[in-house]
Amino acid sequence: MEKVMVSTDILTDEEISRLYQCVSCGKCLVECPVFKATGVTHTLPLPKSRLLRYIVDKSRGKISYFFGPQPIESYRLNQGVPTVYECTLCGACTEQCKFEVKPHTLWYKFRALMNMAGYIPEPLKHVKGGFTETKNPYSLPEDMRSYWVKKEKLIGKASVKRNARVIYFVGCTTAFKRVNRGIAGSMARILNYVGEDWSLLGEKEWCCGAPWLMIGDIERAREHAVHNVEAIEETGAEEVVVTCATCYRAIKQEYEELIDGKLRFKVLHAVELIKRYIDEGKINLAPTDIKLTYHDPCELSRLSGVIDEPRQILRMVSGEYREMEKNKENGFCCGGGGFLQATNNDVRLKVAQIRVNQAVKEGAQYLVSACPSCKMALVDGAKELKSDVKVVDIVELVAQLLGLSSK
Amino acid sequence: MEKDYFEPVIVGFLCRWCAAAAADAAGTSRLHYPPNIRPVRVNCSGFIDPVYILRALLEGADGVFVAGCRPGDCHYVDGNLKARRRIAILKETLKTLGLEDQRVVFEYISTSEGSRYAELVKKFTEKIRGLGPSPLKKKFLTV
Amino acid sequence: MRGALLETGEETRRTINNFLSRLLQEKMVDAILAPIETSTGLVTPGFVTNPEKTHIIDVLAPVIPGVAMATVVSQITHEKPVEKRLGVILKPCDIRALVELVKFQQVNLENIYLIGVDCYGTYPVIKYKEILEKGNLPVENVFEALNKGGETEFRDSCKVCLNPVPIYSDLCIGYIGIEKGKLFIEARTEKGEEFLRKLGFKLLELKERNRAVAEILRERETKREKYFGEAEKELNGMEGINSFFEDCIACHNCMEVCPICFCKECFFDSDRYSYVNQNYLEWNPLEGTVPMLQAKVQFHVGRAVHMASSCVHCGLCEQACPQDIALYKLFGLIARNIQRIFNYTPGRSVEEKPPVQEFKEEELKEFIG
Repeated sequence: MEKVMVSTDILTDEEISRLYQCVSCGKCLVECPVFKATGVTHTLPLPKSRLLRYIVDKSRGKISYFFGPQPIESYRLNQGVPTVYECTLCGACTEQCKFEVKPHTLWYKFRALMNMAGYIPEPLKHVKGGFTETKNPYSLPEDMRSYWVKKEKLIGKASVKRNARVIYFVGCTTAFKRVNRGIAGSMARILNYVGEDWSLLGEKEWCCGAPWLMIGDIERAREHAVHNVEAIEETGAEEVVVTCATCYRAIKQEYEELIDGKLRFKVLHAVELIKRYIDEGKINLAPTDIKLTYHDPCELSRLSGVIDEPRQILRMVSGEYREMEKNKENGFCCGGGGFLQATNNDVRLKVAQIRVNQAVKEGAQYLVSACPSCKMALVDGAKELKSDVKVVDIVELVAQLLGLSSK
Repeated sequence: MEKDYFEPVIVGFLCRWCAAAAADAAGTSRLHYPPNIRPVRVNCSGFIDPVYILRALLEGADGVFVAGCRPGDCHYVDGNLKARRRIAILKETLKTLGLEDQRVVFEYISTSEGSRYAELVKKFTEKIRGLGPSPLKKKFLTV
Repeated sequence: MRGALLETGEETRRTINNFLSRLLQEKMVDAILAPIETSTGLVTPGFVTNPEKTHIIDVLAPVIPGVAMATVVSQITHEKPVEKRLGVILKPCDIRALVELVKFQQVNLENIYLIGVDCYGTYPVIKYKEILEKGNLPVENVFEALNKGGETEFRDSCKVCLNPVPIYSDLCIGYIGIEKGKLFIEARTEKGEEFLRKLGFKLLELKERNRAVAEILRERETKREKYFGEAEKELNGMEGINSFFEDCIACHNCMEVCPICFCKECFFDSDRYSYVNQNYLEWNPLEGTVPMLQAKVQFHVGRAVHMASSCVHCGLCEQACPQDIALYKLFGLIARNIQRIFNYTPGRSVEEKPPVQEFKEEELKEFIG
């Protein structure tokens, strides 16, 4: 039987003690979106936890005490690839856990462990080369990062300046994906509308690095973090605004540890900035009667706590705002996270369909979200369902209502 | 009465060395017995995981007829003795849960007993006809 | 049974841990595998090799934290026996599970010394956490219940357990039938007696312990009959089973924590069974997958048919269910009835073969024909 030595050095003592705090109560299993979508039990949180404990026991834990560090059977690691990677890293498991295990943080480290051992899904193996070269997970040419400026007719109005107070960090999924260009254009127009002193990073902007963490390559993520922080600090910016929930969480929560330093700028999501402009009287939104509902991006709401601002904005926008049954901290994932689109797109589409249907159940005409990954997944899900629910980003909606769209 | 129109679905697990040979003998002797039985030939009654019998009952069978060699005659020495224990466990489980364990029967049939095979199948089919459709085969969709 | 009577005063945990330290100091064992306290106040199986570090052990913690100690021992000794001497702390149901696993070649007991612990009952993990959050010590609640004979919030399988005192171990740390402020360390085997004598203890008999245990068993036998009588009524026919499994989400957690379910790949997860298919899972875009009743019955009843003959009545299946289904009612009932046919008590002896591993020439005539 083929066996492989696996290093567990990537796990800190604190993480290992958290891993062993699990008591198999099973509460994490009930809300897992991938389980709801597929019914397959081996991608659930507890099988992940058991496999990780088994690997730790053999490499440096109980079993290794008696027999020295033991290799792991490679069939378990092969089976472990879908177990670990067919997951959106949405954190619903952590939300349910009463024993402070914080499982989804352990799954990030589990991916790092699997990547170092060489066990990652085939599609992600193909992504690595292009990602390293082009600094974006879609392996698209770097100069396409600013293509949206031209397509949104913003040449001269969305430019790269040497110094600015606010940097708009666009993010790869917004910049490179056609369906999301409108988000970038809308954000640029809003910033111009209020007369903000802002700039893009242009080609100095690299991917925020979160997809590298999702693949399990912490070193590459670190390179991106160091580079991006340098590029931002060169402009002397006080604040960085993002339209992507994943970029938001990565820069706000992961960067300081990755660069081993302090960030000298504040990080805001577009909803926080727009809410501030409204409070300062710079933006006035007239109410409409559009029936709309809000999808909480997991990385923005459950994992970062930004829950009220989008609702305050949307309640101003429409008197017909309604909540889906799974909302706020208990929001149901769109399926777009964890690099699942590359690993297993079928699962992502199933999860997205479930979420779109939750909006349809509320009679929503517009399904509003605050993240380009969510927008893509929900658009794809709506297409599968042949539903005519309109999926739109909150930044696009605000720009539209201010009469600022490119059309 | 409705029961006269009820044709039970019987699944038969027959061991190829004894019971299936008896079934063949019944066939060549042109013996008549109800056609409700769907025979499945297995190498030995000990091969049958009792979960498959349960599955048959849940997927539309009204009765399951398992037949193996007599103790001492098993081609694989003791497969039929293991089968006896497993089917006892299955029947006890069904009885405990009120799921009509009479719908599962285990008989010893040896190669030469073609007419006995026909007789037992007839008796079992009539018994199941009398019991009516199996309560297990209703499909409940729980949401 | 002969053993040593120890003074504990108020310091039951410290007395036990000092005893374990001495086992390590006198080099009678090289390591002790025991429930170790975690930062959240619960326990997890871990081991101690340093006699100065035994203060983290909590032998009497009335909770089984999701993994039976028997499963842990099988993970360690599954491939080969340990060469260092290991003392393992086990509750009575854990010991029964361990003995069953020995018979299924999952555990090798070479160089392993079993230190059993009395168990009047355990709390469900969520309840245990609540007690801690209120600032109380769960084990004190157990002592109180034992002294006053009160009804407590133990798990159902504990309330009807007929095995509060281990039946197979080298040593046994006993508090049932022992006066307050004292602890009785019983020697159950020659090895156990050797340990106690080497540590300089005087051995004596305690008859009142047997009487106290018999009293508990009397009370529990009636409770057990009543419990399973009610379970039989509830689980009668497809209607009863339908409503019993209404909330089941088919997560298979009950199978994963069961110490008797040791298969590396469960039959119901394997390709031979093809459970995840259109017959058994309805894909409903509104709700996602919805397990059908047939699938649930197949999995649970099928799993019972596979393992109930060796079920040790630990009740971990019920504790592990996130939908709070009282699974012990089903598995305990089926297990009791099957074990009655073969007159078999799991974990009673290492020599006695489990029902699925043997057969007689003439038997079970009532199940033929």
